[in-house]
Amino acid sequence: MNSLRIHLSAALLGVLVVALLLFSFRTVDRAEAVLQPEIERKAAAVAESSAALVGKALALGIPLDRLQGLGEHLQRIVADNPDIAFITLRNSAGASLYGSPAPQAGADDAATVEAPVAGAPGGLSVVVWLDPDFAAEVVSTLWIDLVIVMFVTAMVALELVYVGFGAGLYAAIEGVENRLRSMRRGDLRLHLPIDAGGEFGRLARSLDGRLDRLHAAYASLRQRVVERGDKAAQQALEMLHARFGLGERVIEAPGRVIAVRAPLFVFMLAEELTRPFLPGYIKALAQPVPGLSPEFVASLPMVTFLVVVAASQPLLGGTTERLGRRRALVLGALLGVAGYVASAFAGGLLGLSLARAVSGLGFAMVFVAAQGFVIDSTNQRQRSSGMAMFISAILVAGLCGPPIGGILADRIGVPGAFVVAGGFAAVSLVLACLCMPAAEPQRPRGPAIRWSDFGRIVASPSMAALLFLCAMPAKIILVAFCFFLVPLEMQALGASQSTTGRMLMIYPIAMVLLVPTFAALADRWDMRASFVAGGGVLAGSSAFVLATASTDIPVIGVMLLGLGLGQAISIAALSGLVGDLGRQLPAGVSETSVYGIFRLVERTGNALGPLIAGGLLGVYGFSTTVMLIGGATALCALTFALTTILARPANLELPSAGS
Amino acid sequence: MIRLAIRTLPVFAVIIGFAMILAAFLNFSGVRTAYLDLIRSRMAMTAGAIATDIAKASSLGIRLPEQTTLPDLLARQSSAEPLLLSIDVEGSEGDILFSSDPARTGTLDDIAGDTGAFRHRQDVANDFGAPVGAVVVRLDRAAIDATIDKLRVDILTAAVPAGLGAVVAGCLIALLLLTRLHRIARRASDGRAGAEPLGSAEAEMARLQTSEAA
Repeated sequence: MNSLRIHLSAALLGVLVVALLLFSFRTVDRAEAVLQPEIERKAAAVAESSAALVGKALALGIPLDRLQGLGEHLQRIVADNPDIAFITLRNSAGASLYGSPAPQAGADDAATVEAPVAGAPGGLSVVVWLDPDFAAEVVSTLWIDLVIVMFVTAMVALELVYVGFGAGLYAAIEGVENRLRSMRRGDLRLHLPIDAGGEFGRLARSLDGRLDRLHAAYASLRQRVVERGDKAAQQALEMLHARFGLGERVIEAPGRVIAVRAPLFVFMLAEELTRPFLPGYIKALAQPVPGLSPEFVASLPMVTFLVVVAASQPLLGGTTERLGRRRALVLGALLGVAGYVASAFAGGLLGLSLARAVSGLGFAMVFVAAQGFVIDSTNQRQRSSGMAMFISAILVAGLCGPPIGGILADRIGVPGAFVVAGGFAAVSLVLACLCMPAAEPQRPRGPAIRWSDFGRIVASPSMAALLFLCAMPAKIILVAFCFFLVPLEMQALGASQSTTGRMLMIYPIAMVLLVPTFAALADRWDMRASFVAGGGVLAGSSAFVLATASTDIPVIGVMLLGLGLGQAISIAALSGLVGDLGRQLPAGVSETSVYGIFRLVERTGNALGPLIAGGLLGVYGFSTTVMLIGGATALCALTFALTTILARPANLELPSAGS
Repeated sequence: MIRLAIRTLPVFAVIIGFAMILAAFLNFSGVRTAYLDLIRSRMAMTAGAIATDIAKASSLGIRLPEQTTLPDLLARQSSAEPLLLSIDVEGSEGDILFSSDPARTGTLDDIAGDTGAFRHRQDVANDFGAPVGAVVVRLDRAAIDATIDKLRVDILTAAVPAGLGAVVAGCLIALLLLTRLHRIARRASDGRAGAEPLGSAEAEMARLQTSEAA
C-alpha cells in the first residue's frame, strides 16, 4: 500500500483522536450537569419507595429483624440501577441493618439521599449513595463507538483522499512517491508515464527523464557490447540489470483504474451497512408461513438478493459493455438507492424481498461495471494489479460497513439506517459521474462464460472437486455464518446492533491482514492445494468451539476468527489453483470461461448459504446448525485433500503459476 | 504548493468535519439516551409503586373506583416531581378515575392528543390477570425537550472549535507530508540526494561507457 496514504490516514486518525479527547471531556461536564439532578431525583424516588415498603411491613407487625428478603431487594435495586452505588436501611446510630453493610472506599464523597421510614421507631431511614462516576461512565461507554468511527473515518479517508485532490494530481503525487520508493530500494525499472501537469507531474517526469537516460544508455551500451562479443562487459551489464532492473518496466495498474475505486467502495459500503441488522429486521417483518420455520422464512429476502446477484452477474457483462461502464455503474447505483430506500419502508416480507431484489440487481450491475472498467483499463500484465485494487476496495468496505451500520441502527433505527445506505448509494452515483471517464459504449464481445465449457470443466475430477468441495462450501459457510446466523444469534443474546457490527469486523480484519501473507506463502512453497484443504478444514472446524463452551459473545468471536483465519489461508490459493487446473483442461477451454464458472459456483454458494442456514436453524437451533455447516465444510475440504492425493499420481500436478 | 494547499484544505475539512459531526451526534445521543432512561426509570418506579397498591387493594376485593385513598397517594407522589403534569389512574375503559390534576378527573385519556406530555403507562391486572386499569405518569415534554435542546447546543458548541482545530491541524500535517515529499522528489530529480541507487547506477554506467570507449 502507498505509504503516503498510510501517513495521511495516520495523521488524520491522530488529529481526530486528540480532537475527540478534548471534546469528550467537555461532554462529560455537560453530562454531569444534565444527569446529576435526574439521578438525585431518581435516588429520592428509590429511597422513598423502599422506605414506604419497609414502613408497610412494620405496620403489618413484622419485627424489624425479620424483614425476610429486604437485603436481596436492596441489592437488586443496586444491580438494576447503574447510577446507584449503595442502598441501605440504617438506624439512628448510623448502623446498617439491611443492604450494603457500609459504603466502600471512595464513596464517602458521593452524594446521598435519605428517606425516613414513616411511623417506624428509632429513626429508621433508607439511604441511597449515588455513583459519582455515572456521568463519566455514560460518556466512556461511547468510546468504543467513537473509536470505531475514528478508525472507519481514517479508512474512508484512505479510500477517498484522491477524490479531493483530483485523480490527475493524486496520480502524480502517488507516482512521485512510487518512483522515490522504488529508487531507494534500488529498483530502477521504468514506470508508466504520468500525464498530469502541476509541480508533482513535472517532478515525476523529471525523475522519469533520469531513468530514461539511464535505460537508453544501458540499451545502447548493451547493443554495442553484444555486437562486439565482449563477454566481460556483457557480464557487467547483466549484473547491472539484475541489481537495478535496467531494461525492464514496472508492472502497475494505470492511473485510470483508480477512478472506479471511490464509487465502488462507497456502494459496497452501502450494502455492508446492512449486515448487522438485516436478518433481525427480516425476522421482525416476517409473518408465519405454515410449514416453514420463522428462521427459514427470515432467510428468504436474503436468498432473493443473492440469487438475483448470482443469476444476473454472468449476464450483465455484455450489458455494461453496451451501456458503457460509467453509465452502467450509475444505473446500478440508482437501483441501489431505490432498493435501500424501499427496504426502509417495506411493510412486509414480500415488499422487502422485492426491494432486496432491486438492490441485488443494482449490486450486481455496480460490481460487474466496476470489474469491467478495471479490465478495460488494464492489459493482461496489469490485470492482477488492477484487480487487487478492486478487491481491496471491497474488503475495506466489508471492514468499515458493519460497525457503522450497527451504530446507525442503534441510534436511528433500522429504517433510518436503510435510508443512510440509500444515501451512500446516491453518493456512489455522484462519484461515478465525477470520477469515471465517460467511455464510449463498446460493442458486446459476447458472454464471458461459454456454457459449452461447463461440461468440460466439471468433467475434470480435480476441477470438480475444487469447485464443489472447496469453492462452494467456502461461500456457503461465509454467508451462513457472517451474514445470517451470527447477526440473528447476537440479537437473541440481547447484543446491540453496534456490538453485532463490531463482531462482524473480525472476519474482514483477518482477511485484510492475513490474505497477502498466506497468498505469498502458498506460492513460495508451491502448496496451493494444501493451503486450500487446510484452510477449509480450519474454517469448518472453527464451528466446533461452540461444542466446547456455552454460546456467548466471546465464543462467537473466536469462531469468526477461526473462519477468517481459515479462509485467509485458502482464498488466494483457491483462486490460483483454479487457474492452474484450468490450464490442464482440454484446449479450447478459455481461462475466462474457467474463472467465469468458478465465480458462478461461488455465487451459487452465496445464495445457498442463508437457505441452508435458515432451514437448519429452524430445526436444530444455532449451535447445532453452526456445527453441521462447519462440519460439512471441513469434511468437504478433507475429501478434496483425499481426491488431490489420489488423483496426483495419475493426472494432477499442481504447478504454481510461475513454474 | 499554494495550489496544493488549496486542494488539501477542502479534502481534510470534509473528512474531519464528517467524523466530528458523527462523533458529536454519538456524544449527544448517548447523553440524551441516559437522561431519558433516568426519567423513564423514575416514572416507572412511581407508576409501579401506585400500581402495586392498586393491585393489592383489588385482591382484597376493593374495586378501583372505590379505592378512595388513592387521591392522597397521588398527591404525595406528585409533590416530589418538579416535571410532573399529572399522575392519572384510569379505569379499564380509559376513563380517568383519579388524578393528581383535579381537572383531569372524570375525563377520557386522549393519548393521541396529549402531545405536550412525556408519558409512561403501567397497566394493572388482578390476581386472575384480568385488566383492572392503568397508572399513567405524565411529565412536561416541553421542559424535557428544552433540557435536550440545551444539551445539543452545548455539545455542538464544544464540537465546532474541536472540529475546526482538527481541520487546521489535519491540513497542516497533510501539507507538511506533501511538502516533505515534494522536497525529496525535487532533490532526487536534481540528482542531489534521495535516490542514491540511481546515482550509483548512473556512475557505474558512466564507468562502463568510458571503459567501452577506451
